[in-house]
Amino acid sequence: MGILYILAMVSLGVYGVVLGGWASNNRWSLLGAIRGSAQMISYEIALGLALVSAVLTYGTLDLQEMIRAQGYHLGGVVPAWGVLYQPVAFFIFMAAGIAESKRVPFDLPEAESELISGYFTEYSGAKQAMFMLVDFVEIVVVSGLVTALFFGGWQVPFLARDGFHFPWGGVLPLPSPIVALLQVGSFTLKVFFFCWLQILVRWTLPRFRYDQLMNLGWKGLLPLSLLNVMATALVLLLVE
Amino acid sequence: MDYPVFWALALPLVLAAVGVILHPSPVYSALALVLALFLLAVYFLFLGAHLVAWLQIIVYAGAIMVLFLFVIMLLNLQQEAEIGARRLRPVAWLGGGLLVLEIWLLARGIPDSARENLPEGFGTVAVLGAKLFTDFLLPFEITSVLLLVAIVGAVVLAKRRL
Repeated sequence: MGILYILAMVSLGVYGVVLGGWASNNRWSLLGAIRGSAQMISYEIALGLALVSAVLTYGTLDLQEMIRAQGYHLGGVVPAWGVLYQPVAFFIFMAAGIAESKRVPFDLPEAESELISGYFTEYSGAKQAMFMLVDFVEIVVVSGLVTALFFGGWQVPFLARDGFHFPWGGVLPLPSPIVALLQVGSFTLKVFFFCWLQILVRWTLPRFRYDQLMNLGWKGLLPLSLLNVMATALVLLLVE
Repeated sequence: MDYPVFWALALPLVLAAVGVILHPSPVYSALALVLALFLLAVYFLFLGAHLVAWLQIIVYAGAIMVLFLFVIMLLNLQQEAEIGARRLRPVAWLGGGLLVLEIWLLARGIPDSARENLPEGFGTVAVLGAKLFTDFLLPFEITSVLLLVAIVGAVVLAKRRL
């Protein structure tokens, strides 16, 4: 049920934007809120469809099951991470995730040079801190999801429960606490990497214009994610 | 479902529902409805209808109520000064009372064993999805055509004014 919970929480993020802009009693905040909610609703669909193709690949809604399913190795060498099965879904999810958190290049609702802070201009103190925290918490959440769905979560290549099993036959037995520690470290490293990637995107790309943003969401990512779902279903049907 | 949990959730649910009707500000009413939908989703979870619970939050609370909020903001509805139609109040109480009586009488007729004989996997995504694509395929497809008609209609209506 994990994926459904994630989708539900993503849908609820729109309330914060809409109510923040409306409650500010400020027409520029309202403008930021309207842009923000339209953007979030548009990219939610592509996000959900990318998740659907991941669910199709693994056949379960449970995140732990999905990570466990990425534990084996293709041909004994290459770790069977989700990105090898669903590269398109990875890109769509990454793009839609950055759009959902309204970060550059999708940061028109905030648009620092135009609307100061957009829908949360009028807030100060702890409430502003909450809004800004959401931005960064969402980076971590999106990174965590990308890691879990597409990059093997806490799986370390060649690491099984009792130690390393290398493809050339070498075995390195390890006690369980060390294995657990390695897996935690692996997850943390991967999440850090994707957080860094999103911050890298932020300081590299300029902001999208509103019509470019909407075109990308509806005419670009949505058909692509639908085609991806259909292709995934077709491949699954042919394989069985 | 345990009775303490039931009553612990029932009280906020009823308060939220009452708040939808009685609160003077329309935005607060809409938010009270969102709270009521959340609590209803919890009840669905307890009854084993997992997918319906999540869809309630994703679709109803997450999209439809946002639409409600947009309409309220678009029409710029203000706080009501006072609830009008004083003369009809006894009729309203009578109607409400009859409705509660009817619901109580109907609910009494449902035996407790109705929940015991649920098939395996009732309410989960897999079973519901299988049913949607096998037994209920035609209604499913017709519903999607209906949604398509609604979208096309909205675009046509809005396009004329551009």
